[in-house]
Amino acid sequence: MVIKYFATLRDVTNIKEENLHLPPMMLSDLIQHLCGKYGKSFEKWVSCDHGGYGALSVFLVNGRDYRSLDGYETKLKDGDEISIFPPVAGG
Amino acid sequence: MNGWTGTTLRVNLTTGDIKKEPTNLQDARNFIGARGLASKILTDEIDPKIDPLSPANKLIFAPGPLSGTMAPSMGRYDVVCKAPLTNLIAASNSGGSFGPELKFAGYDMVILEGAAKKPAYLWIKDDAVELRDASAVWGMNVPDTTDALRAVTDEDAKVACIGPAGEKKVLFASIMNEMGRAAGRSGVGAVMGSKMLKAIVVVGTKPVTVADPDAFEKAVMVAREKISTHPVGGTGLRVYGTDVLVNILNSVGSLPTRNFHDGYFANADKFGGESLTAKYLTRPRGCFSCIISCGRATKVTNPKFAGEGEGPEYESAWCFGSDCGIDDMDAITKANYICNDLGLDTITMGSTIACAMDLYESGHISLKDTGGMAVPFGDPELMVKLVEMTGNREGFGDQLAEGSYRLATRYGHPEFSMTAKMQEMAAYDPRGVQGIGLNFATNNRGGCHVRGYTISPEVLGVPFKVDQHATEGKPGLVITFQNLTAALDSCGTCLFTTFGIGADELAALLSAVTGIQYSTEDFMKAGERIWNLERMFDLKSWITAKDDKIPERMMKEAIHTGPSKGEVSHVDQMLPEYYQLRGWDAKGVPTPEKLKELSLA
Amino acid sequence: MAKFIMIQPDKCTGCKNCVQACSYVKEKQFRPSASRIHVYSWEREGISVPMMCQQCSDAPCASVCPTGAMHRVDGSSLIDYDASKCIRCRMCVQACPFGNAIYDSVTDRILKCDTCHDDPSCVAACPVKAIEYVDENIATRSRKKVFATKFKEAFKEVA
Repeated sequence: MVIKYFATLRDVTNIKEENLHLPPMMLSDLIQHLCGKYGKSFEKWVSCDHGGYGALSVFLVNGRDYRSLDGYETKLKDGDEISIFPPVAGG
Repeated sequence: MNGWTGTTLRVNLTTGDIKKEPTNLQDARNFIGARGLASKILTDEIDPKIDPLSPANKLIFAPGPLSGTMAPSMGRYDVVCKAPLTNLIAASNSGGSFGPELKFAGYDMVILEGAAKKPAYLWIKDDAVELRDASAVWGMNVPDTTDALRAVTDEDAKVACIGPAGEKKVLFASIMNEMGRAAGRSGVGAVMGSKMLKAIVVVGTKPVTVADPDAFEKAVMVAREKISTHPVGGTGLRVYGTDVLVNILNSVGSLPTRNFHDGYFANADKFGGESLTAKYLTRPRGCFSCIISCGRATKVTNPKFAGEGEGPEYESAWCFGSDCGIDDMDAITKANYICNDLGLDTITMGSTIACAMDLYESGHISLKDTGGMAVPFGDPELMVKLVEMTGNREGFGDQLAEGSYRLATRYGHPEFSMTAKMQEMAAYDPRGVQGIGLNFATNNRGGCHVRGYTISPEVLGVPFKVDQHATEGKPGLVITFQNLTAALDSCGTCLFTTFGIGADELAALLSAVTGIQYSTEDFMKAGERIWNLERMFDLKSWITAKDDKIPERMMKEAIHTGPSKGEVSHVDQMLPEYYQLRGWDAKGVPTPEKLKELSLA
Repeated sequence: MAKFIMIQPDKCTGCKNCVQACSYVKEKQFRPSASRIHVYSWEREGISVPMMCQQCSDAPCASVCPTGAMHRVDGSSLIDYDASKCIRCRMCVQACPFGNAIYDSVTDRILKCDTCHDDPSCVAACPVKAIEYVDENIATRSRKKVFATKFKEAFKEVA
């Protein structure tokens, strides 16, 4: 699956996107995998103070917000595109 | 008196009369200040049917009761008049230090009436107010005007002025203050030009005071803490600016592309906030009392588009970018600089060029119409040239200077204009984000995003997330955002404070500063009152319920590519509920009961 | 150890929260002309520079003061102002090479930064740390390190 990083996360990963060959998994598994790969400076953008994930980061699966799908239990498969945004805003 | 200075300055440009009047405190209590209070004065004093570019129009510069305090991010003021682009009420909002400086000079607002016979500027130094000859700066661009007027007044004066576009009455000319800050939308600069007023130059040395220092200090601490610890208000906007939105809007398939034919642009990352910060940003900038610092001081080194200045914001990057089929950030930034220098609204400028490109590629305009210029999508040099030509009303630019609605109508195809009520929509595709479409359709100044920014919950998830593609619940959401924004604009507050605080904190600040107790409900009610006041003016001007719409392309032509492929807008389905929740009848007219409830009857 | 207010114009956004905080803490009102710190902006370049009293070791304002109103506080680097001794001759205003001693006609006093007696409100209000209250040698060390880092990067590129 293709993982795309934006804003501050690019400073953490030093890449804009990558293609990972992973077995089908849930979104939470992928986040855990990426936290393991990129460490604390990645984890702080996707974890809540009270444990678990979320905060204000936005995860899109094929352009659809995870909160409009099955949340962290959204199923991912090969060929999916996952975009991860740290909290951003504008107007 | 606290918060408000208690004095309104009234200048008649026809007669040269300068008067100082007491600010009407009953109205100030009900309409707060800035957008709200100035709209109350305008709607009381002008006939909604007047020609906006006639001397009968009035032009009001209005900071708010919180302007000039150190409540966080209170650097905004509004310019209120009847707008030439929409023929509706305009309140165009700008930042910097100009608004607070008017307060320090001792004024809640400046009302300009009539029209001068030759170029003039208004020089305000506290109590001393003088109309002076501006012949020497007429024709100058914004930075040169600013420097020249400071040289003959005070080198630290705050200057709000028009450029050549305002002088030539380009229908979407802006008023610029401190060179890079724009009261951009709806053509307020053309109204200033029609009055032959080149600039207002102000220096203020008086105090702005607060009624309840203890409560104020506490409210400021709370607001500062909430904004600065919020991941968005605290750091995100400072690092990347508003342009960081390019990638997220594109990723959800709602970045309008090629005059809204599509909602996805493959090369969007080239002009997003990440690229801006990496290659162009000199440093973040902040308006008066701002703790967010979204402003961008930038530099382009490419000799073809070289320059230095402010911008681009997300909206500007989008309209000169994907909306014109362009991914060249050098050209996009240059187009923004030219808009600042000539005094043009970037959104309407970019969208009007996109409309021209669309008309050209569809064969509705030809080389004969454009003076021999080919106008295809995707040509960065052409785009930059068209901006310059429009600001100066040269050649084909003279047609673009009327905005996309009049341009498209001239060639028999108004449906090519991506406008609501003749004002160009902002950078969110209504087919991909349902609530923002309803906001465009119902907005009191047409296609405007900052008066009902439902993108926050619909896309960004702030302060909560709703499904961008759903229509359920959207009318209520739109109304809440519209009312909240009307009230916060009227304080002199920046919209971006809402990435951290809301009506509770703003009501507390307003109460502490003015000494009048506003509950959260009072504050929201003031917003609703202002919204209905504007609506009544618009209805008396020219609109009816059938004008509460967005372009038919949004309903009939689905997004072709990207994650929102196949989506269309469902504005018509949401509109009846919107009217009902507003307390309006089926024709979109506020009921007598509603007007009475809001003390507008 | 002596502390001083260090300015970093490269970080300054021009927001004037420092100006507002100073005016409010000293005068209980927002009157930028009464602030002891001022921010000057160059809009074409998009740069702003805060200016306030440097608490000079060999302070001209104190040297020229005929009454001792402007004086060094014993054992400290602070130059303080005692309004009760001041005769408003404004020699300090004339003498300060930076223009950082100002006569205020509204209050009939000299306005000059006193670092809020070691707790500067301007520093607390700055949202971007463009002004910081720091130990003198730490301040210079961090500035030297910024340039040292640039050298390091340049050498890395050459190598």
